[in-house]
Amino acid sequence: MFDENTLEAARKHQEQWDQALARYEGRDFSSKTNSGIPIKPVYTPLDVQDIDYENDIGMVGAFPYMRSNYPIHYQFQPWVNQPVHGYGLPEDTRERMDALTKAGMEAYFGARAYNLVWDYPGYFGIDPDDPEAEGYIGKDGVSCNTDEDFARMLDGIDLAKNNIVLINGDTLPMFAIYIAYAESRGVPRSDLRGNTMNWVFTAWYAPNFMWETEDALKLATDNIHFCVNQIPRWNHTNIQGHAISETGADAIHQMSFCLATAIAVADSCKAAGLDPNAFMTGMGFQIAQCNDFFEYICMFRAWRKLWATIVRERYGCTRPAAMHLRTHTNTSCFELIKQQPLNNVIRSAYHALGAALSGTTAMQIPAYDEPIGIPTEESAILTLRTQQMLVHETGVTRVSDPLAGSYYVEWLTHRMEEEAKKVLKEIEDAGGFVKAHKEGMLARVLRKGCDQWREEIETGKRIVVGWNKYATEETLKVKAFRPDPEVARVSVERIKDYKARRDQAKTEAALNGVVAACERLKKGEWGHVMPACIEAAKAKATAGEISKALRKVMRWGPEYNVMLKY
Amino acid sequence: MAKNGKPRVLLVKHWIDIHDRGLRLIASRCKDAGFEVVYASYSQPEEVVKMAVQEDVDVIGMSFFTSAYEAHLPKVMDGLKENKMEGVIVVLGGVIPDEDHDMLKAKGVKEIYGAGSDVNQFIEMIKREVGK
Repeated sequence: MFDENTLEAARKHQEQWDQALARYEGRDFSSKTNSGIPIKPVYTPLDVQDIDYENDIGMVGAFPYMRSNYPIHYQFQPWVNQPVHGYGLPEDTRERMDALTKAGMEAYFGARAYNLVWDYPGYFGIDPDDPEAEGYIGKDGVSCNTDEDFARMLDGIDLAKNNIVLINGDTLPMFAIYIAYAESRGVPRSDLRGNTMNWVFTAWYAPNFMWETEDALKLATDNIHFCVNQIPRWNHTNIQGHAISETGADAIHQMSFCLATAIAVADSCKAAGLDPNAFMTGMGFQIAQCNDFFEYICMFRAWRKLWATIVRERYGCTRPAAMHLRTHTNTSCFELIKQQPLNNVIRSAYHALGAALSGTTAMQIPAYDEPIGIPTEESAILTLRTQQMLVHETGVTRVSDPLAGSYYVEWLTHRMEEEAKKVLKEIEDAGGFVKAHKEGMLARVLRKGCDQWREEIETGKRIVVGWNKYATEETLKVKAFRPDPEVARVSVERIKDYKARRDQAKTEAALNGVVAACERLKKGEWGHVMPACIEAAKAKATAGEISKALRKVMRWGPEYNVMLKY
Repeated sequence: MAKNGKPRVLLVKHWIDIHDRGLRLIASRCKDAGFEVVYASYSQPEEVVKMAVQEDVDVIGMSFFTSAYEAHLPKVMDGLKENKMEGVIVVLGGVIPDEDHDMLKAKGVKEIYGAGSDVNQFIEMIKREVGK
């Protein structure tokens, strides 16, 4: 990257610096990043001399897109504000949506992205009137299970303009009900914009359940098949890096496990006959920005480059939009702690600053009170204000990829790239991602990461302010936010009433259609499951009922009542 | 307690209550401490009692990300009583607001190890209390 004169000067300066260290009497000032990469106290042109500007770094908005997807980024439009929200009944969630809108939540071109999270029953395809739902209805997300619930939450909102993000685990049934609702309002599915998680395949390593791996991949692929053919603008898949991070992955493993997941999904789509240039544009990554400030920025830059390279070389894509790493930052949650909770506001602001300097395209910041409960309206709006202050007060949006060219940042970015390639190769050598997962390779890495993190805190090797250092008697009492206890009763009543009012024979016939479509999927016939789910939704089947129909054919597992003995 | 003198600990979480990082950490620490650990998911609180009976445990640790304990705990406590297992120590963990602690202890919960707790205190409590 430098001419010989510069390198000669750098070598001379390095010698002088080495001599200057004498005054510290041989102490070792090296350290390690949170992923364990050894770090020196200073970097110079000598550390980046083998990095080639043209091929390794390049320009913003051009392949390999390491520096930014776009020629002009935040200067044209800042990242999308995408705070997660959802609790209680659909109308309670609507209140929060309106409060955030009033507080200035913005997406691209004057629209909004409503990042809606479901309660656990809705997440896993359990209706509120199922005994398994007891205790969980509307608690940590919205209880929304039918087209009528969607109407309570979304009526009056322009579905062709705003992004509706459906955060739940069992993707297809809720998505089908949303489409049925939209079409009942006269909005054709091809006009819809928003995101499904499509975690049917990717969420297994975070929680301890999910679809059996191969069937999960089939369902995820079939959802993509449907979107590519019928809702081309829909963001069909969210590769869940945040959950991987929260369950114990460091920056290197977050990036490489996500890339490996995305490769598995893309391979499956290609095998199903889909055109990578078409389906890649709906693939997104949810990325955790954590405590090691520079490491996570460098991870992000390396990630953009690796993905663009994989998409171009492995899948032969030519469209820039297919090569772009679409990112939704969800700043770290596991690093927010209960002790001295207001400190979390500051921690998250640092994470958010890191994400902004990384050039993320959307952002959600957890609220400071989340170790205590789900956010209050006040704490939720504070997370939005944190983003707004970054955009409007700090000046970080003036220049794209402002840290480029830093000897340290370029060196570490390159190093992150090399480390991720090593993990990707390990996974490839183990027979690919599906096999590596089934054999527990990834789960082992995550468990080790969790245990190590805790041990480092307990031994004082890792300092957490207010926990293992500067701890105080707690004086600030933060009261937990609680949805109205009536929510569960109302939700159960509503769904019973909904089921009582419909044409039962018609619903059952449509649910049988879902079972038949799954059987076709098992035989390798793509593209029938989502249309059948939409038909079922239009015949007034609930989310829980559609999920149950899927589970008659597609294997659900591992068994949730599994017992492990240590 | 097991015949070999090792405390037996049942750690449970409802299968849809997905944030399990803390409970898994506790499982591996219990194992390190030499306890016998059963780690399980359940779909109805009654299953927790059934597992406690079958496995003849000394301690039940239940983890919650939401206030589902309001609905589940009374059923577990009643079930233990019906099975003459009142001596089993029940503890809770997860995201449990401070203002609920007194109510939960009044219902028979021995300790609450929520966010920010010290895992070693849990281990020490078991060593101290089991087989007393």
